[in-house]
Amino acid sequence: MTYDSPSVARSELQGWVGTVEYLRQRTRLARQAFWFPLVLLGLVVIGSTPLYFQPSEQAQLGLASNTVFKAWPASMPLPAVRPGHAAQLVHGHSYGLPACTAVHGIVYFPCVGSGRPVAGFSYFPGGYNVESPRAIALYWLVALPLSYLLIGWWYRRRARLRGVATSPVAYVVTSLVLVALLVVASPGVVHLLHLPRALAVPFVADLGLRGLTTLFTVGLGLVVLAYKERSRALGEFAISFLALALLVNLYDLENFTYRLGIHVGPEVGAFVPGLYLAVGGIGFSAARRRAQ
Amino acid sequence: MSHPAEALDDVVHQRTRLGILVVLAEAGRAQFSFLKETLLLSDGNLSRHLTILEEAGYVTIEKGYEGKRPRTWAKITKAGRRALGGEIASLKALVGRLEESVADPAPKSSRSAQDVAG
Repeated sequence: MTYDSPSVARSELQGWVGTVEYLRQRTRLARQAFWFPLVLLGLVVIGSTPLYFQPSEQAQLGLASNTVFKAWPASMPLPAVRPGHAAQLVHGHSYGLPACTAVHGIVYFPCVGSGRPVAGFSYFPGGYNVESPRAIALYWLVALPLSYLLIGWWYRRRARLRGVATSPVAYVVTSLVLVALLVVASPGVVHLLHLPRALAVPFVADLGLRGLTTLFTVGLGLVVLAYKERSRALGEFAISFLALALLVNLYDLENFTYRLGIHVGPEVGAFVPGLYLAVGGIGFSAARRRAQ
Repeated sequence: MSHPAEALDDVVHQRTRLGILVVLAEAGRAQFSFLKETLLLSDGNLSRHLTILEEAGYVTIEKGYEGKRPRTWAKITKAGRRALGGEIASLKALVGRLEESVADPAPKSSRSAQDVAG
């Protein structure tokens, strides 16, 4: 093939390069399907929300729900418990305070805080400072592997129906390995199997406290999926989700919502990341439909 | 220094075969029906180009069944990825050279515009 001038040849070759880019984009769009894992994992995380509900401090102490908590002045001795008034002793609670006392419907602050003793180990990913670490651990250890297998099946099915799809193997295997690694690192597993305690990898700072550590495995898995899907948008979303996971693992989100006038408990720490995933998945799905 | 046109691979430097390799490089593997639809080719035309690419060792063909329906999958090989990378690099280099030629009509090499355009 010959051309009359360099400008004609240049246009022709630029057309080739443009076609290459067009086909690449079109194929990428056809094979990407990461909205499904996002929506599914979002629903799974939202589904865990009831496990993070905690009875109010009043309920934990067996007090009326309208009992008011106030800070106890350090200079004053604790008042004596008077007959006919609500009073509760809480031993060994997490703040190391000896007792708390309620007088005239008012509970003074030394007895607030978590009334539960802190266990020496945790059933990953159940956490410490939650109502039922075992229930939370069981939920994640069943729900996450099932979700990953379902996602693998979804990609395979899509490949059969559409003739093209991203291979889910690396994503599914990485996600399952991440969950398995954290289970092995769980002090609870080391305890149950009577292994040397030195094998238990301690969770850094408060990361194991709130029972939300699994969110990191979800986020890291999504980074791998973004690489396999060659999606910068998903990569950025996964990084932002990891940042959110770090936030809810280290900070009681309900303190923030309280300032906004929304009175919720620790369950918000599971609900918000779940909602973020699900809404993100729906958004990516809508954007994909528009692009097609 | 060799001219970029000399690096062009005759097997890959053909629009349809280049398109097949681009799709497969992006997808890893794709069904015959997807390639046909995406590249707007007839069955016979696609088969002919896939055979050429397979003979060159740039793709592998897998045939199987999905239930009772026959399915054909094409997969790009490492050699195919290398050939595609070389072709795209050569195309971009050629475009660069031609842009220089358009900006400065004085010939910079002994090769003409007709030569480089393949």
